Amino acid sequence: MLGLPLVLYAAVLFLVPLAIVIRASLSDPNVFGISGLTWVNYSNFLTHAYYWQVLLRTLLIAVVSVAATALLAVPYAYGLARRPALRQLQLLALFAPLLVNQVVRIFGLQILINSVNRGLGGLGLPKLPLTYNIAAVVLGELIFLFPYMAVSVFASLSRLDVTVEEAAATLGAPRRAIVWHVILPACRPGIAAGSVLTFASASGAYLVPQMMGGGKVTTVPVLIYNDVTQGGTFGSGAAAAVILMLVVIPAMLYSSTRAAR
Amino acid sequence: MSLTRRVSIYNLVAAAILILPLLVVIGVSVNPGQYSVFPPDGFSLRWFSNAFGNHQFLDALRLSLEIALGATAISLALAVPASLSLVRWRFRGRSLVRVLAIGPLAVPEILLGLGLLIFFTNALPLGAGTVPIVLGHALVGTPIALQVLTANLTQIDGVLEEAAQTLGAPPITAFTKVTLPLMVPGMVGAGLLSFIFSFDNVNISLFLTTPGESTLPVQMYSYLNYRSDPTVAAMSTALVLFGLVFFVVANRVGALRFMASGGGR
Amino acid sequence: MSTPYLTIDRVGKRYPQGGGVDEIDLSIPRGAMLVLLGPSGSGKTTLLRTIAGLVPADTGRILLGDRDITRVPVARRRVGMVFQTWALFPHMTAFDNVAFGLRMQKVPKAELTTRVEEALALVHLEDFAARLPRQLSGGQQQRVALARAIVTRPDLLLFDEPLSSLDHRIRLELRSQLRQIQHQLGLTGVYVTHDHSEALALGDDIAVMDQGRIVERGAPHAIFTRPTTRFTAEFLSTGTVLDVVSVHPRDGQAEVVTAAGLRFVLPRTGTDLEEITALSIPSRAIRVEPFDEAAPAGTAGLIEGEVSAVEYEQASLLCSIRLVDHPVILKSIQPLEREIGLGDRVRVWCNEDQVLPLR
Repeated sequence: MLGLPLVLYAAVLFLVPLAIVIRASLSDPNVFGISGLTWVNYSNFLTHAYYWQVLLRTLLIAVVSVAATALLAVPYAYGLARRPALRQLQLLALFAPLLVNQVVRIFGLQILINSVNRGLGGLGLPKLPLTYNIAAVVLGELIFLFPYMAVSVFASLSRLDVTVEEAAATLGAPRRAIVWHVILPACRPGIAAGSVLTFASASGAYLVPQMMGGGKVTTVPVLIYNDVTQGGTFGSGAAAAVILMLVVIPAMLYSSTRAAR
Repeated sequence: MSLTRRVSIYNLVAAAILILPLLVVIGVSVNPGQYSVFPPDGFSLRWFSNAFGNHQFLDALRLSLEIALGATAISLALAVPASLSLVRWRFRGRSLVRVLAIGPLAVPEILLGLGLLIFFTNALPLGAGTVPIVLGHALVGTPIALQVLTANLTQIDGVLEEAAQTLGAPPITAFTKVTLPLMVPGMVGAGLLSFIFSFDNVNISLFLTTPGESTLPVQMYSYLNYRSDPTVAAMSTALVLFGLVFFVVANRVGALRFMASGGGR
Repeated sequence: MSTPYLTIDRVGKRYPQGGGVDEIDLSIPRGAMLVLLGPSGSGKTTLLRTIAGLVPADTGRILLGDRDITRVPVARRRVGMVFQTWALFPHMTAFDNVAFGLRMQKVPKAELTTRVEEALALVHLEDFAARLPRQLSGGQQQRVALARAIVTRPDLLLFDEPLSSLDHRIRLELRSQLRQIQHQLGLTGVYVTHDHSEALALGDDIAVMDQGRIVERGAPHAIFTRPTTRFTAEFLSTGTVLDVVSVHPRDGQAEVVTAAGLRFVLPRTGTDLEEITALSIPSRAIRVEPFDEAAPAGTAGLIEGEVSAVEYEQASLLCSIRLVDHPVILKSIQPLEREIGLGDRVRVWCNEDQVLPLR
């Protein structure tokens, strides 16, 4: 069977590590490595208001970022499908950012925000509130997630024949009804698939909150990374990861079953 | 017909905003001063020579290229046969293959990074380092490649191989002479996306990087933590130009179509 | 009948999800074209693919010449096949498509070039050798597919509705080219279609299929003028089919009563009386007279009706006549120049010699 190597690979390097994370989340946080069997990591996380705040902040950032991305990417995908002049440029805008790593893109974005703010300051106008806060993190996610969402929606929109829209128009549907009853339903699988992808990405992102938040916006991944790299113990980081997974994965499953319909 | 009827203004603005951070980086890279500012105060290539004279950056670049090539090779080696079995044959456990294949794409990367770190440092005596990074990148590169390959393969009509067989080609020859050449655009697209994913990855690499052996993005990240001169911008500008060549090649062989329909990541 | 060349001996193939063929027996002599005619789902394509070897037969044997090819892999059956979607290799030029089979046979280069060029010339595409399939029109692609199938001089040619996705005019043109090439090269073939006119034009022999079985077999003219089964008569729409209620033998003839109450007297030939389940009233057997008040009502054989539809065929009118006293609509072929209008009152008369008993 030709799929077997992939199955074995994913089983060993995906399922086993996931299981190990779960195991590590139950280990004694005061001992180096994995040992003992205790719920203390979870009770620790769940009894501290601070951790709840971090978790809610993470989800808030992810949900708002995905929603904003969908809202902005759907018209882009539609434009790309229906008004394909300068198509290469429109595609380049989606793919070119992939050519540069996230570190550099965020770096560029920050310099851009600084330049704009300097310009606004020079004109005596208030600055954009986009330095080292949640709004800046959402903006960073938006710029980063946009291409994935747009490509995903474009893939499902390109299966919609333009004559279907024309047929709706000949049946007397106003533009708004066509958007609502024809175009959006056709986008739905793409939006759902794109949401799964971007939600996983946004809720698991370390770099964007860390850089755009300037160390002031702590999310679960930031928490996990700092815990693991600074402490040398895995327990509390693993517990945070499992909790994140328990919140994120049902949301994505729901979204993907909606996509299947 | 005017241009605005053929392309939406919204798209042009959005495209501009998406590309703008890249243009800013390019602008910053030629800034003669010590600070990363945009627009640049003048024109100088000193930061380019600084970037390419920096051994840490060069070592990181070489390591990133090696890792990306390795991860791409593994991704294709796993995804090409799997895509064939998913598209061409109906078999028991087909959905299991699909779920396992796509799983790593749907799980937050931080989790993959953490899982792999504990796996390699605690369960295996290997420790973090280059090999775990390659394996970790391939874990995500494989489903990316699989999506592109599947999109390509579903467009290749199975009747072509039947036609080849009626013309005297045994099944294996029919596959290698007919289907395989038609899979090339998909493989190029899949390979490019896996390569780019690995080359740009930060989230998995951060966990598995060992001191003294950083990938390029990780190296840039730690550099920017201490200094903000245009060296990183210069290095990135060089990579953008390098990346544009990729884009042109991908477009030329028709791989872009499948990259778009594959969803990518 | 000359010696059989292709023999299909009790071949059966069933798919788990339904469909397939049962117990098919067929044989054709060398140089003949057998047409498998039937609606979609009748099993004709399954049978063709079984002959090609693309689908293994569950039961039975397939003989080609003196070879038993039942278990021979597709690649070694020496059949040529033209597919409905043409199945040209999109990454190869017309030349390379046609050359593919010869390359598989390791034909030397010089001979290969000559033979490919000959084959392309045969389908009038010698100037298109360097084109890729996507640079050719549908009709041209289909001709490349034909050239590709015949260039290897296969023992048997198989056609799977090869013309069904082409425009009407090109379909007619290719049909006659195909017939001509088949005769010229003396090719033996099996041709699957659901189109009557294609079957008539191309077949030396027609097998009508329904639900995985052959319901009727014969020369095209016989099948079209004297169908013997209800399925064939209805599928080919050669006339009006009426259900039979009872059959009464009388003086070497048979009086047949139909469900609609119409009675026909047939000479006792052909099908056994017990087997008659329906009658086919061919459209050409119905004479239509203008309604004449003066004519004595109830004159033998003259039935009153009203024209309910008039369709223009290529060289004639096809009139539907609703009978006044019976729930029946009879079809009648009339000359194109005849003036018949919708709603006209008419009297019809049936030539009973032409009425066909159906199984």
